[in-house]
Amino acid sequence: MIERRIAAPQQWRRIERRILLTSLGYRHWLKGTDGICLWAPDGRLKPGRKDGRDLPGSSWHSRYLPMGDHVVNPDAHSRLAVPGPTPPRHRNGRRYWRWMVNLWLVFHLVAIVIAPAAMDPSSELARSVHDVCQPYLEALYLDHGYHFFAPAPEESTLLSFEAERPDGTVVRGRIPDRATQPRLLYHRYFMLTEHMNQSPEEFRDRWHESYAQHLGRAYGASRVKLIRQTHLLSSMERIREGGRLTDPESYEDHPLGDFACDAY
Amino acid sequence: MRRLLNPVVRDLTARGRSLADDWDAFWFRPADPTLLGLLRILTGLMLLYTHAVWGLVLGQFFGPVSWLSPALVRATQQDQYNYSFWWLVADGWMWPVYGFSMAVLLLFTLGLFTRVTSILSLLVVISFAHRVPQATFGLDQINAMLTLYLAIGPSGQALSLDRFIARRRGGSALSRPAPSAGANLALRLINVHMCVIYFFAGISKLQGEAWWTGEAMWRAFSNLEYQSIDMTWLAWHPWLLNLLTHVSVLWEVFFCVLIWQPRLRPLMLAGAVVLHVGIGACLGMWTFGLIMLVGCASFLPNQAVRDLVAALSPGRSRPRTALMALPTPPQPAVPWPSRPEVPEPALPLNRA
Repeated sequence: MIERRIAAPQQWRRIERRILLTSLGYRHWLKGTDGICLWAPDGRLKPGRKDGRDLPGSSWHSRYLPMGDHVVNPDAHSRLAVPGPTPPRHRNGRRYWRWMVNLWLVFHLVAIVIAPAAMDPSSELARSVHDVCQPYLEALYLDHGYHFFAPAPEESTLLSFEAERPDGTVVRGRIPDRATQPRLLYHRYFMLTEHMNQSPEEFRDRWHESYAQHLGRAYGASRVKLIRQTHLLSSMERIREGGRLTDPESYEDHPLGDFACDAY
Repeated sequence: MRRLLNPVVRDLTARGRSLADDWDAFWFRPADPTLLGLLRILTGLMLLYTHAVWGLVLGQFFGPVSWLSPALVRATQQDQYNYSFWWLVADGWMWPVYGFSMAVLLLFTLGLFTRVTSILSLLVVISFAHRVPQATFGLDQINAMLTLYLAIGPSGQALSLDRFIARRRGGSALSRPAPSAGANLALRLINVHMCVIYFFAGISKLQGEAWWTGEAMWRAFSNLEYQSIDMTWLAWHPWLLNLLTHVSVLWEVFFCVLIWQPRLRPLMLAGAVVLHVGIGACLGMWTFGLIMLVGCASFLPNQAVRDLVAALSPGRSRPRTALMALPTPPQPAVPWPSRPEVPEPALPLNRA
């Protein structure tokens, strides 16, 4: 290995003029502008000088390579390619460990790329690979598309409600309430209503029921009426002509039904 | 035939080895863990804030009659590999479990027992997110991603109570954290994941007409539910909106390439600051903007971060500029070779 490296100095430059001399049993890291560092198998690091003449007294003196900013004469160092100390027994174990880490790394990289790539619209190939990675991605909460404001920023979905108490009083409200603080909490409520449109068809009714039950309990109501509201986006022309984002005509109502609440 | 093939095989072998070396250097070159420690603190603070806010409405989102009932969420996740410890928590144990979760996140942020608390923090983050999937958004995704990589890497080796305790026990020899391949692996994973996020955020926008016509930023700014500052004045400046739209998409799509160019990296990171501070200020998503910036901070130069940390640390000298952290203990002024040395194997090389 060392001979191959020495025979191709341009390779050294391509990897930032850093050399790994494994045959010596030590890892020698070189960097032209920063001097030399030696990394021993026990994990310790030692500083060195570019000219290879190290601080007197360093136990690593003999290990330093007399190289400057550039590796100019690799033949001069070929004598370094001699058998080094016998590799410790645990090296094989470390090698297998490194292989395992590399395999996991490749799988992980495929998984984090395929997660957004398999979002609709996607190819059969992408979906097939995603199926393999899905358990891993879901278990680690990495199965996301990262389609922020894509394919285009859309109008908002809100939830308007009327909660009727047994005494006949009615509480009306809308979620999310812009007065909610802190802002992160406001976004939590906002996501509850935004995700209503994305709920699977078979769960949509149970979803609305869950919201109604919660509101009934929160307000002590026996009946809750839910209305999904779509807040349409205003065009630039409309705003230039004096329109406002809060104009009532920018809201569309879609009644979701009346729900009897037994949880209050 | 063999003569013809041999050079090709040799070339392919050499290229393969070179690629393997580059791969090895990219992922496993020992790196100073100071930046990872900084990311742990920043991510931990965001986790603490995020979960503290859950505490304001714990019953509403995690109780038995919550917005999303446990039965509904479990039904939607029946074919998925999601898990959450909240499914095991009885009603009366909701607050104790929440308190324990917050304690774990606090210890993780402080860097105490980090090897354990980082993994527990990941379980906490994932469990909260899987319990209320319809109340989560990008913030939770980035929180989990960063926590995962901070659990993989030795994020407690620097800027942590673990480090402080180790120094107290080990003396000055442990004054600086040793570079480690694990730290580099974690930082690289964050780097690459941020590139994946921005790339897909960018190309997914290209499916929408509004990002081509330049109206997308107007659609975002004019969304009252997102808006935290009135930006309707931009209706009189459509060219500015077009420019903002095009620049945002281009920046996101090309981030994964240009961020690796040393000369362009500061520019790309400055773009990230502008983009995410803009998202925070105009769309009210400060938490999301800040956590994305924490992810982008993984691209900061390790050396600069270590110097900054050293400069901010009271009573510490600035570290010497070097390739890596060099935990060299001070050596007495005794002429070599009379000084006692660490035994080394005989090697008749470089002996002048």
